[in-house]
Amino acid sequence: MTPTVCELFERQVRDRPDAVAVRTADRSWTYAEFGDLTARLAVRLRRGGAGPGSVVGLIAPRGPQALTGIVAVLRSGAACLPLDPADPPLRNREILDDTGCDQVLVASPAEWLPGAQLIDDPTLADEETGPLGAPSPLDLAYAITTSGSTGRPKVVGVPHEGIANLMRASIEDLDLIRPDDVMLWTLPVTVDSTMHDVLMPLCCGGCVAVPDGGELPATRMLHAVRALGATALEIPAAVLGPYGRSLLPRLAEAGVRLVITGGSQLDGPGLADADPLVVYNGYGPTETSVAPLWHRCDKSTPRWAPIGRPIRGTRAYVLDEELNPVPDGADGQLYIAGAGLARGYLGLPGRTAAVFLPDPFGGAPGGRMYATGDRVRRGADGEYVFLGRVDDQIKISGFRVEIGEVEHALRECPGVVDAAVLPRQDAPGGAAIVAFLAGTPCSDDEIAGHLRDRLPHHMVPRFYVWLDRLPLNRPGKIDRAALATIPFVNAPAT
Amino acid sequence: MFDDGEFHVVMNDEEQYSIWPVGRDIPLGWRVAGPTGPKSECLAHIDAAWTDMRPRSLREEA
Repeated sequence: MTPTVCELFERQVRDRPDAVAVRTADRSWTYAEFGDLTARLAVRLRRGGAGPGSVVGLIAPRGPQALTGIVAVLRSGAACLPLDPADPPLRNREILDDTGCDQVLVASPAEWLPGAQLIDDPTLADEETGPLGAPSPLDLAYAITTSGSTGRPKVVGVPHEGIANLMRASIEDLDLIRPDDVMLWTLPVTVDSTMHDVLMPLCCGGCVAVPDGGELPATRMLHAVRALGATALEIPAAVLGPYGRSLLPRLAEAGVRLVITGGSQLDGPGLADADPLVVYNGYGPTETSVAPLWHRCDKSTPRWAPIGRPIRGTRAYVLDEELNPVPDGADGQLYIAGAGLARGYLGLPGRTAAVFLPDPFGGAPGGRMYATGDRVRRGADGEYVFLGRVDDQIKISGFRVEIGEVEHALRECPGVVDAAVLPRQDAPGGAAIVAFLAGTPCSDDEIAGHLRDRLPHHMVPRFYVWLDRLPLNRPGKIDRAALATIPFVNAPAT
Repeated sequence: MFDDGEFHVVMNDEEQYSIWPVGRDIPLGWRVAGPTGPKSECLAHIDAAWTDMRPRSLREEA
């Protein structure tokens, strides 16, 4: 049976107590030290009732305390529910109540959480060590809030078997981590990729490098890599696509061997030009344990990078609307089955049942498959290519517009570094496709001229708005909500 | 998946619920476990019936 992340970490604590597990600019913790620190906090949580089957909240910014919290909750046997301290207390309170969190770990005291446990509570030094949680593969490891399209956020519960399967593939099959790697933690605590990025080193004897708090734009990333001696890091695809060509050679020079990316479609030049640095593009909804598909970028990788193929223990199907498989090369919705599936949305059985369907195509009887809502195509080489969201296809004047295709064509125009396309109902003259661009501005006619060679007439945007940089949201995706409110002052009259 | 039409409420051996379109063979390891009707009715039934979302083998272990 695949060992849990708790078992893998504890094995490292036993086998290499003196190796560095966690590093910041100020100090480092060996496996022995970090093992002891997290065990004491885990024992404290267990005395408070935490264990397999319970959920413990974690409200802390990215930092050594948050990392201590994640590992301690897992070792208590409970599931870790990370929340953002910058979010409104009312929202966080609601999520904690909905998921039945009796205990919450915090980095600093919060008035609205009087009973919370401080992660660096000095009295933890007196905590006696005791038996830890030993969760079963079906117990939840973590729970992640995803913003629902309407109403309350959904909380995805992911079992140990899901993240354990990804760990095994990352270490044994994909070479995403090695014992001598220093992995820089770049993402917010609340996204599921963080679980992959920080647990992976701790499961194989590597080191997690924790940069100073706050945002981590590309320029600061490079600084943090140099300061902490990082050899691997994750960069959101929304950043790596447009800025990879300039960023990757500098990262390689600083000693980085591996860049993991994902979160949105990877679209950009020069992803294999920083040899020996390798870029790995991961794909996956939170509902399928971070990323069940991976593509290793090489010289033959097109700018619109594939999302790769399924890792061990997982299967991917491309199905039509009647749930029938489509042939290779044809479009369909992507369904994921196998070891990585989440248990579902905590407290939302109906919404869980609507997207976790019976799997008629393979695996053990009674298996489920998750409907991703993503449109893909499988190529003859077995690699899957992302085409867009199923509900992302918009219609303008009765014609179907493929957002992803328009954005890709825009990024290939001279001078354009990054692009996002939105339908705007409030455009002068009525609903229109609007292009938001970053790069070296040129005239609308020039861009439209390039596009007309590549796109059907109805897919060419009517308005072009140049920005210094496209806005990103916290998980590092293009912030379309922000783009939807940008005024049309730059747009010339037609 | 097609939103219209009739669905079965189905359940597997782990007592996990789901839905499946009427008229298609129910996949191996699943059985009908509730009403048949429009998707919204099936999901409402599941909301009421699936009170413990842990897989059965985990519940029995505990």
